[in-house]
Amino acid sequence: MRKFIFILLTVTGLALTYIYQQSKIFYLAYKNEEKKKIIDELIDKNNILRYNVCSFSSLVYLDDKIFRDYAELQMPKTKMFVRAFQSNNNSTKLTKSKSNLFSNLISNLTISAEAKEF
Amino acid sequence: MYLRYHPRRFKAVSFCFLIFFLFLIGRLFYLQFFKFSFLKSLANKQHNVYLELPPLRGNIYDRQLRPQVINLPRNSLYAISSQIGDKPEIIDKLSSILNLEPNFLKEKLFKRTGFVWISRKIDPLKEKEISDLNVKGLGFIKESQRFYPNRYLASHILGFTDIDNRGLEGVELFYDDYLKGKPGFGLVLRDARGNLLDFWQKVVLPQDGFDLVLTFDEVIQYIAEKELDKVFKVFKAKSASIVILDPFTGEILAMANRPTFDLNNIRNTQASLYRNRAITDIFEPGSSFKIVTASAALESGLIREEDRFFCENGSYKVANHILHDHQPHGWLTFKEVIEQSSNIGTTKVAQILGPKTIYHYIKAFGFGSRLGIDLPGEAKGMIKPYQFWSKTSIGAVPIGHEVGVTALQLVCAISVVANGGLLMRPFILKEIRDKYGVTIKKNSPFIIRRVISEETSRRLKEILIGVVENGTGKLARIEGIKVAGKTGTAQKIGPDGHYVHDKFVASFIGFAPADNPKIAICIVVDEPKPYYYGGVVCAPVFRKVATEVLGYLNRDFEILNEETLLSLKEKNETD
Repeated sequence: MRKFIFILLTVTGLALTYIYQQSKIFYLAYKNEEKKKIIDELIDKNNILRYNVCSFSSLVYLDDKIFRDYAELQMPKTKMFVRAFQSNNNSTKLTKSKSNLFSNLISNLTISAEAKEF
Repeated sequence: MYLRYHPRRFKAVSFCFLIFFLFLIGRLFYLQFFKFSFLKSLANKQHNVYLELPPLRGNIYDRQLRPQVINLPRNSLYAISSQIGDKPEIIDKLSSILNLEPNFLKEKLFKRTGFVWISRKIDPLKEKEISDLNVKGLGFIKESQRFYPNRYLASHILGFTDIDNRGLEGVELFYDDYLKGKPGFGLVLRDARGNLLDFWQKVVLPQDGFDLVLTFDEVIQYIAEKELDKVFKVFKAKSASIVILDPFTGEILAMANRPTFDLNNIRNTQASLYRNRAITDIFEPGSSFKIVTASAALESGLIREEDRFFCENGSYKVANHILHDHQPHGWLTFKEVIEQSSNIGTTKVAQILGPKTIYHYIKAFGFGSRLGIDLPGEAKGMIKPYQFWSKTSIGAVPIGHEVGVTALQLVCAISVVANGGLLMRPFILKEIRDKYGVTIKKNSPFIIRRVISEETSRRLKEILIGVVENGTGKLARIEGIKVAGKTGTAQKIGPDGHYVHDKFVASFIGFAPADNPKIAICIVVDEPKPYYYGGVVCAPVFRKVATEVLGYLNRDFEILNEETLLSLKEKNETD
């Protein structure tokens, strides 16, 4: 009888260990799936942000949205200083005359630029 | 308390248990050995899902590795129509959100019962509106969509893909096999509710597409398109094209056409705008083609720069056709004939050379055959073999009539003069890289053939510098830089097969700096109005584009920070 009980307990113990192991695997699989979703979302966000950065720094965009009314995008001349400064308010305008600007030298949209010939 | 022992009962119960266990063992045996495969497949179907793992399409970069296309996630809406309750109401709502015809949705939801796509790759705002409806039977599947940060820039080079990310035009089509990658698959476990677990039974990972690095430069492309856009609008042209080439390697630095289209808005674009006119459209080049006749003349040794030709004061009869110059000339040297673009002088040169020699050089320059650019749709052009020339052909072909060429062929022809006499194969792909940035294939410059000797190319270069300095291409002059080029103005043929007097193709081909060429440019404007001369319409475009591109290539500017700027200011003040 003792032997029987011992075998029964051993088998039950092994079965429970197996079930615990399986449930743990499934638990981890659920966890992993959640983390994978988060990672996928982050990758997607990263791609969207990368696209936005590329779009906003695109010469086409800058030409369309920023410089159209003020100056034409051009290659800077040999003796020309392009000065970039932080805009303090929205009323800051770019110099209208003789403003030869080249967009991709001025990378950030929050920065206004002024070019002067010396 | 005591227990009574009933051996009969005990035996009977034990026997029952024995029978029951034997039955269980028998059943187990049956299931394990006879129904094994059936039950296993049933269990697999319940637990495992077969998933196709789509590869990520490769990216495309310009020569400075600036991204030209980015894959972004977009959700596609599907329906399992048998699960949808109030279909008419759902159709009403979906049609208003997605701007779809109710009949289209009715057909999808009423005629089919299983999985059906409603709308692929929909706008995130619309997706949210649909999600908020919370309709059972509607769901989203994430897919990737190509987005182009520069919108219309280099649209004819890059091309685009269809809804399933298969290349349809441009590089996207030509290198589709490299870009698309290989899909993978996997067997993934799911729970009783159908939720997927990150528990893969079998997995073959997808192979993402390779990245392409192209030869064009975003900045040069922008400069070219900006100026092309201006000339297209100012002269109210039917179409316009520009090609910029590195004359020594054949690398395409820029290629653009007008009208053009926005790569991010393909669905609302006319299909006719997709055409890369610079390589698909053929036209009569007019005087630009005289570089072929001039090359033939110099290379054959029959003509020298100082040889004089009488240009008949502007009117000359060839067979039964009277040839005119755009302004009358008397005696001109061969150099002046090309500089002033005299049709009569060039015809007289061609008459000395003969049709066979002219035809030989036309073919040698690559006209009438594909140059082998790695873009879809390249046209061969139209060149009539000299045996089929009519009596008037000798007065037409050498001055760029009765021939059909592409803008690409013209820029390659002028590159022959620029690089010392070699016809280079034009190409757009610089290299192919895997996702780790390792180069797996590289395109190298390829010499198709030697067309003229270095000496002839040097002599022709001098003549073409004269065209810009003293001749018809004066508006292409750049201060401080020697420019060589040739203008072209050709009447167009009307529907009745005769030349019409109010429709022209203006062109300019040239390179700069003439003594050490870095760029060769071809500009073609179809039906410009009111001016139509190549020297008036296209030469100024060349000047603007070449000035800015050379400035960019030479990088003759510095980016100074605030401190350096202040110190320079102080230095200026003290000086």
